[in-house]
Order: sequence, then structure tokens, then C-alpha cells
Amino acid sequence: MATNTFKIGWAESDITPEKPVFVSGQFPARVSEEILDPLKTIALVLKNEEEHAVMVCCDLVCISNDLRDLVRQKAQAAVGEIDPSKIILNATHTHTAPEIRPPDPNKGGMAAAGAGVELDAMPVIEYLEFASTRIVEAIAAAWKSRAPGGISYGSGFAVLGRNRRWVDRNGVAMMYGLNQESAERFQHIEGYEDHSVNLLATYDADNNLTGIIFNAPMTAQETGGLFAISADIWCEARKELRQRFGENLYILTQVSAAGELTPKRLYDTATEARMLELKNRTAREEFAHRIANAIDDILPYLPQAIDQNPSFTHLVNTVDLPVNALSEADVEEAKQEMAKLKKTYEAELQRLENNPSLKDGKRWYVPVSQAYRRMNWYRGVILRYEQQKIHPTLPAELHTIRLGDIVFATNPFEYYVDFGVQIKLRSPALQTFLVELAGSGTYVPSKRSTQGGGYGSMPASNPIGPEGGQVLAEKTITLIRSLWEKDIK
Amino acid sequence: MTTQNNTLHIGWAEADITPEELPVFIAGQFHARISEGIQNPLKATALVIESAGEHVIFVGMDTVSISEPLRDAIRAGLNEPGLDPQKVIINATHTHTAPLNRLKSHGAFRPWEDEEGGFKLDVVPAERYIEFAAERIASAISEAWKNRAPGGVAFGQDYAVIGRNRRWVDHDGISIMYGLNENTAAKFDHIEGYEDHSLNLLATYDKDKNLTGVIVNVPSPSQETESLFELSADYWHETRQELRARFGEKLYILPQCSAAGDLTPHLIFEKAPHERMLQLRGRTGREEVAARIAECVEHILPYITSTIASELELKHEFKTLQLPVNALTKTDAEDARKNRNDWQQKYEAEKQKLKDNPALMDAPHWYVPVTQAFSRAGWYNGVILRYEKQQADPFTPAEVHIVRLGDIAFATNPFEYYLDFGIQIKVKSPALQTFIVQLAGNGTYVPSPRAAGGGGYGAVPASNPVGPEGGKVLAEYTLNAINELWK
Repeated sequence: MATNTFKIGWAESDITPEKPVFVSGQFPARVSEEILDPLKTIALVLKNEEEHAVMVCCDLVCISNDLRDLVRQKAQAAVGEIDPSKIILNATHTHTAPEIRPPDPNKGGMAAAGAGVELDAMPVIEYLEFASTRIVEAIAAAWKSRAPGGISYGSGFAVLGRNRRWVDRNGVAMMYGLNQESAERFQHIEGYEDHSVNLLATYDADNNLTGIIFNAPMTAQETGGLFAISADIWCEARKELRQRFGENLYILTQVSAAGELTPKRLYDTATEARMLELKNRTAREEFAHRIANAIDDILPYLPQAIDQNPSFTHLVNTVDLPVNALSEADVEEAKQEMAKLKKTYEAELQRLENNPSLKDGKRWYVPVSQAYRRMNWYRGVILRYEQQKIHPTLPAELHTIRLGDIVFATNPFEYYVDFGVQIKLRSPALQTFLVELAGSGTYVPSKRSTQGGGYGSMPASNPIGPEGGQVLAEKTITLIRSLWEKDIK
Repeated sequence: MTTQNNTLHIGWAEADITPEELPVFIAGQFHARISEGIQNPLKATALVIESAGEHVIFVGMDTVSISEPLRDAIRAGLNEPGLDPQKVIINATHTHTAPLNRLKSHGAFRPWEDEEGGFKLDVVPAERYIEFAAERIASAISEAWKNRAPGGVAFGQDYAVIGRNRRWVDHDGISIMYGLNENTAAKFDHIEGYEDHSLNLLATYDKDKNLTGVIVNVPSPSQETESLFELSADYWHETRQELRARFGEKLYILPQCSAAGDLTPHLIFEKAPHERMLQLRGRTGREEVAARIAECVEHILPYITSTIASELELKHEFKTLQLPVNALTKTDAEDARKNRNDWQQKYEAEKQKLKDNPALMDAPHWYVPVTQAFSRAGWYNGVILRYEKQQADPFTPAEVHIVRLGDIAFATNPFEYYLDFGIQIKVKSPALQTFIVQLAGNGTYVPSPRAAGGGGYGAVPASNPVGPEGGKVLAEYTLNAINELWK
């Protein structure tokens, strides 16, 4: 009988900033004014004699390369046995966590721009130091705590992520903005919604539940506009799950392909508001219930299928994806938008200079930083146009992990659902846990969405376009299949 | 008894409409199916709501669709003072395992009477089932009418993943229904349309606020086990059992199907994990749907009892619209003629096979290929007939009911109405909840513009007496009529 060498380790640490920070995720700069609830990072180590994977989920909007590299560097120093390339960091996409992309004048995009005005907040680089240290503490603790155990998995459904893009009668697509007036033009919701939930549960040697990976196409941005620090839905969801399944439960969350999905509803909003009132729940609490209900509908059936020695392979690949080929017209349009925003930005600066007392007002910096950061968003198009002449591809790190009959397949993007469904459909795995936002997270739009345009599916949003998205889907499928080669006759 | 204030009077009744004369033709597939047994009973549930002299009567029926002869026979059987038969709305659950209630299929003759073809299928004619079911349903309506008593209603909404989009688009923009497999998956680009997982619930209570019944409105037809040769209410059977186990054995349950022309309970991806979970849970697909519906109802019911209203304004408008038909081209008619002729040839060949070798008729389901060919020929023949008819009459009638009950609306149509139209109505409706009721009639597909662009079953001329243009007119009428009731 083969020795059971499969080991599992879990740990969690707190990555709540101790000072005011730049809050990441919106066009205007936001400086955190309060901490609503703590931010967490959760680390899971899976290891057998030949292989290991370190999965780490963070309450952040995305994982910048700076953060990833710092974590790997420190992890290697802290735990020599870990192959740093086998550390996967993914974000929940909370829009109320610190910025983790340091300002960089050589880069386009709103995050690289900074705020455009002096603001009193912890520099991004300082938060990166702090967060990377805490994340590595969790990784080291999970590594150390690894012990023989087993896994079991299952699937179910929960209505969580909703499609936020709609198409009007002229074929023009829009994000949000459905109201009484615009509704007259409404034709259809642009794309699909995927409500599947994939669950991996881990157990100790005595088959006691120790933790779960919850994978669903839902980003945590129900209250994404706050000037506060919060894990968003995951704050309430963790509470609810621990109440139902044990106070010591580890909960690692992954976002499946959900580039155009958010928890926001485009329609039936009044109905849902009424139901929340009747249930006496906030929207975040409602999502927590739906998540917990979905898990409740899977978990009781999994102990019969615990595998204490699953086959285990972890591939790490960096693939080159074709960039979103920009045209001169795209650049021209970006320049025009930049020029308009530059005027707005300068006017806002002038206004502040003429009347310095404006800076005594709350959130005085919103209009000026909004103009500045949008300007730089368009500037990104111009920079990318120049770069594409030299580098027509962009690298993307992908992890493909086979664990028994299931697979995890990561990508760094906000990957539109159509691609996710393509991968799930063609994957030979019994369950395919797609993990988006295992990286810096830019939108990769579906082909049909770029026909309609709109935020998320336009040149400024898309360093990688539908062509690159399709290449990524094909590469992911090929990588998954390579792990099933011996099973595919 | 006619009430003059807004006090709600509510009455329920249920009828068993499982045929007693057997076998019957089972409706819902191209090929004929002769019933070989009764898996579970078929039901029709009637609800009367009356307020200030106005009334509405909802009937949810375990059948594939409501033919006009059936509807008319039910209405003709009503003779209660004060009851307006025109205010009876009968909707189908769309179970594909209930008796045929159409007198003609695809405007053509019936293969089971083709003596010349050398075979005869021995079944109880549809006329007899219509007569039987109409009598039972009319009795149930009368009973519900007589039962009506002061009571209250409450409503709410939650989500259950039931109806799944069954149409997908390939990399060339061609739409296909089902058929995703290892060979075709490489061509898959995306699921064509949307899915709506909202469940709208109306609960009724007696004067002591005891729950008496529910309308469960979901965008999913009842066709989880649609291919059986046995009679069954499909997932509504298990759903009724589950709901009664949780909420009381005497609970009345009236199912309605919201706009779901492109949805069914079948998955087109992630089927293997679904099957595995069913196995782990020890549930059938139908039991799984039942559990999801019951779970969802459980997420609504406890929270709405605080809102029970016993006095509400009720308005009920109905109209027979003249919708523009799906304008067919000469090419459509020519293509249909070619296809009809091909299927006609197949039909003749199948008949010849049976004539040459009558022993084939000893095999189970021997009649499937011959009736399939016949029915397909008739399906295409329908296009030719419609092309000829549209020259003189470019409109087709559609009975539509719009009901306002307090802050909620019911909007019916006779079709299998693609979801995009349903969402248009829900997005623009002023009602707090809009219960769209499709299949309150004979149920042909009304495709969305994007579906018609991709084609495929359900969005081709042969499927669509009413096309996207008619679908739009219907959505606009529905919205205007709802708005009128909210003025």
C-alpha cells in the first residue's frame, strides 16, 4: 500500500493597513477614512513528496506584479523549501482595500498615475512592504502546519455575480445606467451569467473539516464606492460560514471568470431592496447567506468522497498573448479625450490654487484626481500603441493544477464569462476551478462585447483584447488537457 | 356574491387531469409517443381572486401548451353567476409528458389515421382528452369560485437556478440548440442569451393568516424528463411533494412559467459535475429542481407574512392582439418546400418499410421514425401554408391578459417567449414584481432578434409563426397595458 504523503496546511493573517491609505478600485482617488472590517489573507499549502502548491487569497482589488514579486522573494527567504513560482496569489477584488500598484510615470493607466495632487496617505510602497510581510507570515505558518489530510469537492449554484452590461436597440453596449429614461432603449443583457459554485473542502486525518476553497464568478464589490477599508461581501460571508460550519474554518475565495459580472443588479432593483428590508439584511449579508446556502447544499454530501491521496501536478507557465492591436484612430480618440480631461484637471488645480480653503472640505480631491486619473487612463492607450510596435505580445502567468479529477486554472485578468464557459466546456476535468485576478487584473473582453463597446470593452480598458482572450482560452485548455493526457484516449 | 369594497376573496381548487382513457398520444416531441403508463398524476390548479367586483382566475395545468379548443371547452363549461369565462387564464407548465390536446399538428392530417400507409396507431383521440380535461378543469374553477372567502395575499422574490439557456453560438455566429459535445465544443463561442433565475411568489392566506396556497412563477418549463413514454407532470410532481412536505399537505400550488422560450432545465455545460452531485445527494434531476424551488420559497415565505394584505385593488384587462406574423420570404417558402419534400420522401420510405415488413411493428416504439418523418414534413409544410396565408392576412391573434394586484402585475402571453423580451418587460415595468406568464395559450416560439440572427431550432421560420418583430410589438403592448394600470 502506497504511503499517504499528501499534506495540507492552512493559515490566515491580517492585512488591514494601520494608517490611512489610498483605496483602490475607482477612477477618483480615495483616502481611507475608517476601517469597517478587517482585510485578510488566507494561505493554503498542498504538498506531497513530489509537488506542492501555495494558494493565497487576498482581500485586495488585484495582485500587482510588485506585490507578487515581493511575496515570493520574502517567502523564499522565510521557507527555503518553497518554490516561489508555485505561490499563487489571487484577489477577491474588493474595491475597498489599499492600492497595491505603486505610481509609475512610465506606465499608463489610472493606478500608475497616483492622485495628481498631494494627499496624506501611506505611500503604496509602504503598504506593499507591510502586506507582503503579513502574507508571507501566513504562507510560512501554513507551510509549517501542513499535516496529512484529505480533500473532497462538489458543485452547486448560487445567484451572485450579475451581468452589468446591456445593449440598446442600436447595438451599443453600456455598463450600468439603466434607468427609466435609458430603459426605453434597452434591448437585452449583453452576455451570460454563470452561477455555478465550485467547492473544495479539506479535512484532517480524522476527516474533520478544516477549510474550503469557494470558487464562484463573483467579485466582492457590493459596497465598492466607500472611502473605507473593508473586505466587502467576504466580511459577512466569513462570519456566516464560520457560524454554520465552525469557528476555525479557513475560507479561501477565488473568483472564476467574471470580467463583466458584479454583485449589482441591473433590474428588479426595487424588488430586491424590498426583500432585503423584509429580511432585515444588508445586501452584503444577503450575499453571505446565498454563499452559505450554496455551501450548505454541497458540504454535507462530500465526506463520503474524501480523497487522502489525490494525484497532484502543478504547472507554471508564462504565455505570450497578443496585445489588443490599437489603431491610429484609437490613439487619436484617446488624445482627444486626454486633452479634454487635461483641461478639466488644470481647471480643478486652478480652482484649488485660487481658493485653498476648498482643501478643508471633505474629499476635496475627488474631482481633481478623477480628471487626472482618467486622463492617464487614456494616456495608457497612447503608450500601448507605441509599445505594440516593439512588443506585440504581453506575458501572462498561468498556473494549472490537477488535483485528483479537478483542475485549477489561473489567469491574471478580469476575464469575460464567455471565455470562462469555453474553458469549462472543453476542460476534461470533472470540475474546473477557474481563478481570475491571480495577477494585475485588466479586462479581457469577449468578442461580442467589443462590438458594443462601453467601459470594460474599449481600447482604454483592454491591453489584451478578444483575440488575446481567445489565445488565453486555447492555451488554458491545452494546459489542462496536458494533465489529462493519459486519461484521454 | 359580489364584493363591493377592496376586500380580497380568494378560492382554490385542484383537479386531477390524468387521463382515464388510455393510451393517449403524449405531446411535445416531433415523433409520436403512445403513453405506456402513468408515472405520476397530472394536475390543474385553479385560483380565484376577487376584489370590488373584479376578478381573475388563474389555472396552472400540467400540459405542454393550451390549445384553443381546450381553452374554449373549459370556458364553455363554466356557468357560475358572476364568473366571466373570459377572465380565466389557463397556462401550461410545459411538461412534455402529458396528453396531446391539439386537434391538428402543423396544419396537416394525422399519421395515425393513415390507413393507406398500412398502419394505424390505436390511441384515444385528442378530442376525448380535451373533453375530459375541460370538464375536470371547469369543475375545479367552479369549486374555487364557490370556495372563495375573505383572505389575504403577500408576495416576494428570490433566486433559484432552474431554467438554463439551451442555445449556443459558434465562432461563425451560427446558433445551435443543445448538441454540445467533444466534437462540437471546439466551435463553441458563447451561450447565446441570458438566464433569468428569479422566482416570483404570490402566497395566499385565509382570514386567520394561515397559508393556503402559492403561485410559483419561474422562467423554466417543466421538461427535465421530457422524452418519456409515460405520463408525468415532470418536476412539478416532485416540487408539489416537496412544497407540501415543507409547508403543509393542503397547500395549493399553481405553477407559472415566466418568459423562457430559450430556456429548459437541461445544462449544456458542466453536466458531469451536476450528475455527480445528483448521485452524491441521492436525488433525481427532478428532485433537485424540486429542492431548489422549495429552498427558494423557504427563503421568501417567512419574510412576507408581515406584509399580508387583505384589501387590494384588482384590475384585469384582456385583449386579443393582432400581432404581425413572421414575414416569410419566397426563399423561406422554397426552402421549406424542399425540406418538406425531403421529409415526405422519408415518410413514404418509412411507410414502405413497414408495409414490406409488418413484423417491424412488433418492436417497441416502432412508430417513432415514421411519425418523426411525418411530423417534420408537417412542420415545414406549416411554413408554406403560412407564406400563402400572410399574403392575405399578415396578422395572427394572441390573447393577452394584464392583471394588477396591488403593487404587482401579471402579464400573460400564449407563446414560448424568448427571455430577452421578458427582461425588457421586467426592466421597464412599473410593478414591484412582474409575473410574466408564458404558455397561456398554444405556445409557439417567439425568438429574440439575436436568436433569429443565429438561426437554429426555435429561431427559424418553421419554429416561428411570430418572429422578433411580433415579439417586440407584444412586449410594447404588454408594457403599455401595465403602465395603463399604474396610471
